[in-house]
Amino acid sequence: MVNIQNLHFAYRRRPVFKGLDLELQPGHIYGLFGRNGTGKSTLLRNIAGFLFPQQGHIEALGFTPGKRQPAFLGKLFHIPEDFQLPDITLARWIQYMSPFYPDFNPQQFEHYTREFAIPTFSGLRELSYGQQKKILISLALATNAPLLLMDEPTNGLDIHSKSQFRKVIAGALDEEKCILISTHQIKDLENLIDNITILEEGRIIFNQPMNRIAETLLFKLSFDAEETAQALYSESSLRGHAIILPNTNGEDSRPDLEMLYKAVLLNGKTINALFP
Amino acid sequence: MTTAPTNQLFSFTRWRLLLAKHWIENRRRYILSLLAIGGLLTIWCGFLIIMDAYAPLDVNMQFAAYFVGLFLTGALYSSMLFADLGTKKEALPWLSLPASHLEKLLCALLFGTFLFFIAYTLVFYLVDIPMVEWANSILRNHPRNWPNTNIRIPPVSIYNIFTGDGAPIPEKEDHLFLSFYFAVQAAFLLGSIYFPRYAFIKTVVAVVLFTLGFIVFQRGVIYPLLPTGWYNNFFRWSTDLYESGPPKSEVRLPLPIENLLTLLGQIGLPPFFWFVTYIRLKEKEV
Repeated sequence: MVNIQNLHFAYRRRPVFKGLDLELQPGHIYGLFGRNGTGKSTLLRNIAGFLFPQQGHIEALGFTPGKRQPAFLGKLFHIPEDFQLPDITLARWIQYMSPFYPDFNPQQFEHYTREFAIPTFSGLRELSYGQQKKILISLALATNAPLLLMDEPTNGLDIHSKSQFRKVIAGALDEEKCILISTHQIKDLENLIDNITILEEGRIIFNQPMNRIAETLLFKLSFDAEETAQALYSESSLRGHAIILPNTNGEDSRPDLEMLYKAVLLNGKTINALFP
Repeated sequence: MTTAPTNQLFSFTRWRLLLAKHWIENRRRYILSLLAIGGLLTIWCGFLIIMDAYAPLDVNMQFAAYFVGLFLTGALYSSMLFADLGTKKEALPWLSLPASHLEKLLCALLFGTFLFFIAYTLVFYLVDIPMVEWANSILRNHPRNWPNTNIRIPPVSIYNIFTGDGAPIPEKEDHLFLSFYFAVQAAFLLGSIYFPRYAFIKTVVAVVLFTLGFIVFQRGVIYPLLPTGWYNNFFRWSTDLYESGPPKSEVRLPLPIENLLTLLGQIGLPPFFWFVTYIRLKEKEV
């Protein structure tokens, strides 16, 4: 669905990507994590065609994104971190926006706005940032665009809306859709994403599906000092030490994304070596 | 489910959708702007009528009011057409809207160049016609002569932008002001995409610098190359200015080429700027 090969990109003199490769498949929700300024949003905008690779090749949905052809844009929805909606009512906006997306489904849109409890009678500018974001997410999902790019989608959402977000996104995924979510709010995406991709200094330093992470790594609490010393990563807590170990005995555990992220940043080589 | 048009360069269906969306999102701003223009024209014309005791709001004054307003508001409006592309939060939704670059440019041209021109002209006449009537009622009620003569000041007529009657010769004969307006507006449209911030001011500076450069080139490079006593008149060099009959000696391009260059200068500049704007739009990154 998305194929990136040898991507080079720089802002004037500041290089961001030097030979990045990435492949995204339909039927998955990818979580893209990384520190501030590592190029998460830049990668999304390269995939959407808002920025052009200086070297390398990007193909998305069979198109070259940089050409920004209407057929491509109609199959892609990009939710930016910061956006501005026009000063009209929601109904008007949807009336004039939806015909651009051939697979838009008004019943789905109504369903999502109900799920998010969005007041549909108001002018868009009268709504809070969080409500506007929920409208954008509802529209994105109702367009049934096969490729959804979301940049910090949970920013501005309250606690209830974040759980609604996870529910709605999980329900919207099907075998033909690919959702790429960039965020540094890792906890918000727990139990949602099925692949974790970590960017650091313009390179992908970790890219694994969740099931393989669960098979390969063991996340547990330990009071054993020896076990803690052998851990790939450990964190002290009131309940003992939260640790990550190689899952040599095939035990079941629930990956803690935040711990995994920190572990990869600190000990990426060793962790990657565990994945064949 | 609807079927998407297959043409990726231009589809009338998509363009119509784009026009409808643009209108619905911007109509309040457009209507308010036109009301503001109408208000300013009313104040200006009213001021001229009150201040000019002899020939209130004559055709020359109307000509000046029309073109000063058209150039100022047209350039200002044009420089805002792609201003959204200067900020990330407005540029990303604009670029991601499923319409081609050509459709987006043509939408901006339709609203910014053609509809604005028509709307401005309508507003001008909505103000000008009653103002001229007011001026004439003053002349009817208080007939007067030109100073130190027995000649009665005639009623004021309404300036016709299409015939240019009563306007300076370049406008009356060649509609130079009108065609120059479209060139200036196209230049400001290009400026609005070229300069992400302060597009209007930067385009003004760019236009002034270009004009200065052109004058310096004419005076500093072309003139010194000509023999003493020769004049430089764009496409032709001659021993005399065209004031009293043809010059004794002149060097000029063949007439068809000269006519073609003049025509290009008059009507070729806007399409040239629109084409460059289209290229810049395709290259635009956010």
